[in-house]
Amino acid sequence: MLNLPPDFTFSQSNLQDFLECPRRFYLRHVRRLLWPNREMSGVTETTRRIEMGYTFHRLAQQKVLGISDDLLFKFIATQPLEFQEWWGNFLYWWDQALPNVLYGERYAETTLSCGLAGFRLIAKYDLLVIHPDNTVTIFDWKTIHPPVRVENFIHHVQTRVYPFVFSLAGTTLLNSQEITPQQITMIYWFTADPFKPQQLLYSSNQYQADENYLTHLITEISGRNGNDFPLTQNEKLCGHCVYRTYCDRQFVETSTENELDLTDNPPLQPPDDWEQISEIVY
Amino acid sequence: MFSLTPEQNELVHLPLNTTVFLEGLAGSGKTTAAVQRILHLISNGIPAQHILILVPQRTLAQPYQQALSDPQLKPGGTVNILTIGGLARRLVEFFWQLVAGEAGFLQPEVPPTFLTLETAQYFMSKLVRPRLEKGYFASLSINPNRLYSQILDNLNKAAIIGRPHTEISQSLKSAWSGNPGQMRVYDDVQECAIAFRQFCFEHNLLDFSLQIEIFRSYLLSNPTCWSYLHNQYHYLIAENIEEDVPISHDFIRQWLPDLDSTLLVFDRGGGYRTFLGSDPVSACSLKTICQRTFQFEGTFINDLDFQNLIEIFQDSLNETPPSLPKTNLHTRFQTINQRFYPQVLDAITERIHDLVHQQGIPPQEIVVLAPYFNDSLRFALTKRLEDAHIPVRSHRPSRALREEPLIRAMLTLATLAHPLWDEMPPINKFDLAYTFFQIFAELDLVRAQLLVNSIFTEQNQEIQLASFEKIPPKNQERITFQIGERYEQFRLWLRDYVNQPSPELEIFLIRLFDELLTQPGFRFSQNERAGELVANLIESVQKFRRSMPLNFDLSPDECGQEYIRMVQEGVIAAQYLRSWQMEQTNTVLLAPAYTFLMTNHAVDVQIWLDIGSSGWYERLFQPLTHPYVLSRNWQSGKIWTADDEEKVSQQNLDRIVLGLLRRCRRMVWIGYSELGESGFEQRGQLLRAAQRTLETINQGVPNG
Ligand code: SF4
Repeated sequence: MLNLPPDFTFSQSNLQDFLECPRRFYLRHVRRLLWPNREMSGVTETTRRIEMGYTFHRLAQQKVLGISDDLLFKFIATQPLEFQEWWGNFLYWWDQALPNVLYGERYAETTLSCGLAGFRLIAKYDLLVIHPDNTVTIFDWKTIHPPVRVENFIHHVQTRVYPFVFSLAGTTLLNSQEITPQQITMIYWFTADPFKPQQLLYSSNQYQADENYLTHLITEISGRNGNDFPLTQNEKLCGHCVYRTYCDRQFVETSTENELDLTDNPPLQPPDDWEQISEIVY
Repeated sequence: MFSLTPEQNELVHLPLNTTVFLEGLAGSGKTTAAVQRILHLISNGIPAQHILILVPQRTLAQPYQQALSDPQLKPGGTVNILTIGGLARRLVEFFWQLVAGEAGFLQPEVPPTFLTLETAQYFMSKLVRPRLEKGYFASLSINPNRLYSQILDNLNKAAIIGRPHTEISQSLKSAWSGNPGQMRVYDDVQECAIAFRQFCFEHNLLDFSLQIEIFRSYLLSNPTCWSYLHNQYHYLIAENIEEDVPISHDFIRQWLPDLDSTLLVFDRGGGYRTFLGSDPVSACSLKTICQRTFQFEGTFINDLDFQNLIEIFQDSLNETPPSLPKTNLHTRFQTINQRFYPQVLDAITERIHDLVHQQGIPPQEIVVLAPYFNDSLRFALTKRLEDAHIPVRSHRPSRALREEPLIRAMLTLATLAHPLWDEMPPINKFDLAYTFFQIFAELDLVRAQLLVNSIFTEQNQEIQLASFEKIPPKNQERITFQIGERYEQFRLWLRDYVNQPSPELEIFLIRLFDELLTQPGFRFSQNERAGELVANLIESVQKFRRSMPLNFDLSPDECGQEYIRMVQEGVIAAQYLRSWQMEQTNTVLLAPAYTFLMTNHAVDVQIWLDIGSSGWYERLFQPLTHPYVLSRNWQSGKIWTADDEEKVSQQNLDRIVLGLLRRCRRMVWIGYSELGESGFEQRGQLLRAAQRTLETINQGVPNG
């Protein structure tokens, strides 16, 4: 039985880590091993994009919180041109989507969780829209370049976790009214292809399949012992992995199709060391 | 289900819209009740996302985090757990555009930069140094780095009591009665504090004090921000409010009428963070605005005998006639007394060995506490315990990276790889030998020195490293060809690096780590501790670079050079903070007493070291600031006297000792030597109180 940290919860990002490489799951989420890597520097192209992605998510949240477009615009004008283009497209899409998929009660950066297979499973949503007819649209902003085809997303664990957790935990946003899987739609929206959001409809069958799949996956992970998390055989996945030198794997140039999860692990945030000010003797 | 006392049960099941002030001593079951109250709220349909738990320090969040990760908990949203600083920071991020201009930032459209402790200290140094050269603070002999941090501390103190930062010197001066020269020092402090705040406004920088200031003065009066708070949170649980700062209490007072339900938890014996601005008096005043007050008496931790011991100790501290022991307390309170300090450590190790291996007490039920844990004490005790096969961890809350030998080696290599950097401390042969010793596997210090003596030449301050081939064969043999091969690998890597344009310092460090130090034959290969330290260093460099205002116009190379110089001079400590949760738990803990208290958990056995030290109760020497004067409880215009100093020392001692005893289940041992760690005879109030306690225990033992 795996000895997980006391505050451990399963999420789409740690499950995805396990699926790609059990060792990465173990090092990052069980051992919580910090290991120097290029992405840490904040000066590579990948980290530049990750940061832009993070800023995008925060601004989208601010928009939902009611900060006016005018004020946001002044802010965006200080950002790189590529980002300005993202935002311009986003606003255009937003205005068009407002009467339909965005119509209703909007919740940005909301976390829901449920118990499954003896653990807690959490999902952090970029945007949830509860429509007046009590149907729900889950939005996920993807700042990956180039965009990924919808078929690739269908089997991505996020596509399973997000609607599944919402089916169980989402009633909290619906005044405790029951929700059926058929009421849920998930939309991936891409900065790189803003006018072709990928829409996935949820269903009872899919819910059942996801429940089985996720239960099985969590049971399998938690039932392993620490030696049972092998290195991935797909060495391409090591190209951008933070543990590449720890595992002694070679650097292979790959596209960053697997975007670093911006919602579960917001990267490069300054620390809250002022909160621990007491720990420092002046 | 937990079995709760009737009082706990009543509190947990109060109507959902009640505001409660819950007070009691440590161990009386307050946190347990608060945790159960939250679970009760959630199970009664309160959306978890509408609940906010406010804690003064993150270590105090643990019981809540644990309860809230229970898979049995109803599906739904998640409860937020924040400190007042964390909440302020979050709101500043969300609503920056709404308040930045009004608050006085000169570039409100540009994203703000949140400063860390060390980057704030760096900018403070930039402003203070030129003034030092002009004779500011001339009457003080104090390390400039402590000077910078105390000016920042003044800004923080002013912010958390909600007083303008322009009134710092006025407050400090009005309480001063000593050497009149100190008045000038306070004026200098004031000028630097104002200059720093101005600098932050000009460059969109936010240190802790400015985040709090923006939160208090602008965000809480902004309707959009307020409506966010109103919609987001309806239920507030504030834990250990006596350890929180007045601004946090003001916030609760302002917010409470808007909330559906509030539970404020107050430890009557607390206030350990007073030197950081926590204010039990202001916390207690919140009682009057709550509908219900609960007082939990009794303790779940101390049995009757131990409670008797606490009474006796309390009398000894107050020097009042002692309560009599009701039973034999010898096993509950003992001394480990030796003439010399190392003997005390040996004896402690023996006792712990006996506890763990003979009596079966789990290691995590034992803590060794001292007012401060310096490196030599930590090392000496850790080594002894490890040799005795006792798992041990020492909680070192923060530590300057440059004190780590591995990091010192990285810094030396960074200087070596950038020969064009000027005004850097020179690298001498010993530095380099020590660096080689740190990075080459299987190289001892003697051979490292031989290697350096053989390859190192310096001409016009330029260091040349000769190739291994050029070394006399006799030396090659002594150093070994295997080391020679590694040295060549290192030398060629360095040569290639130096011949290319310099990248950012982070990139240099990563390349050095990736391409060289983790290769076979180097000590960092698979070395997790080294990995963690270097990752922390890279993070610190990165934050430094990011906080640099654009108009400073530093090239990546200049920025790296500036960073290294500042670390070498100690302006930037490159502090790294570890999370408690990352640490092994089934171990004996060595920690400063205060750090242990702020985890708010109880253990079976406590061993107190250095009880002759005044560090248990005296405040740190801080000539530029004053935690008791920069407080709401200080009467303006009153002079701070020796009596006041003595009074707070006594108060600190009482708090800390009783706080520790209330968190101990079975026994306390006090370890002391006639001659302390530094070889002097031991005195001190705690030692006297402990001796009085022992005398009472001895006198009052029933016959036989
Ligand atoms: S480097 Fe490769 S094998 Fe190692 S953890 Fe990363 S993905 Fe897995």
